[in-house]
Amino acid sequence: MTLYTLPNATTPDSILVQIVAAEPAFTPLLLLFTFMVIFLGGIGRQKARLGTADYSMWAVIASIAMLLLSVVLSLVTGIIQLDWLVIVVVVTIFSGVWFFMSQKQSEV
Amino acid sequence: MVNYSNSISNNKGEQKNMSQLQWTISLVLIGLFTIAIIGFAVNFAADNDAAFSLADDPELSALSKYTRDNTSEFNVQSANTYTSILNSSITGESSTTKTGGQFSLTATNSVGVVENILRVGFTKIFGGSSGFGIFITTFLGLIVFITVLLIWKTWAGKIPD
Repeated sequence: MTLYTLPNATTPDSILVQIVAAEPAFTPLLLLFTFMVIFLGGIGRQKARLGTADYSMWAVIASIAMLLLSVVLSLVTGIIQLDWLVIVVVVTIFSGVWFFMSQKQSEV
Repeated sequence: MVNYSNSISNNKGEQKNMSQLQWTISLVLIGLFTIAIIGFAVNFAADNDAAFSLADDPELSALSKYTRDNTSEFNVQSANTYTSILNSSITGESSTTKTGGQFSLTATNSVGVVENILRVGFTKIFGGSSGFGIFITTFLGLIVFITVLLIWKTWAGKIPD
């Protein structure tokens, strides 16, 4: 018994679409993974190097990386929904609000 | 170790409250950042013939338009304020202006930009529930309160921190 229907790998052009059709949570979790890797990884490395970290700056960088990935995913129908793209843009804008309002030490 | 600061006159590592200049710059940069992000997403979709575009969402399209209008108005009003200050004169024994016209561009445009951004953003993520409306209304009120306080302290000749 399989957990979900395996995508047809003989037509790799649509393999991402088939994965998302089988598991709709794939795209948002992929975006969350991208955000968290950059956000937490950046904070961790900056803390190791300087002893402090600029959370808002890393939030902006991680959000923009997530936005770039999501606009690329929006080129093909069936991988990402408009709702998720809107949420990614809103998160990016809010990260910018946090960054510009922040008085924290920054390397920018 | 060399530390840099993303704020004006705060390069010694201490936490300071924002001055009015820093606050206004932050508000304007938030507006420009929003325009850039939405513009990038929309133009990327148009240039690459995407399956759908951010422009398909009416609320974010409206937000982009409002933000552009507000920042354009900020440009016009700042130029007018600049001219009015150059044309004004300070009489003897007076250290403050009689009206607060010089501060109008901050209150009417920059705060409006951030209010629109936050309202649309929170609605997109959390929906329009009444419970969350209390939070966003209070938060927007806090921004207006800080702005008014900074304007008043500047106008009254105090240090706006």
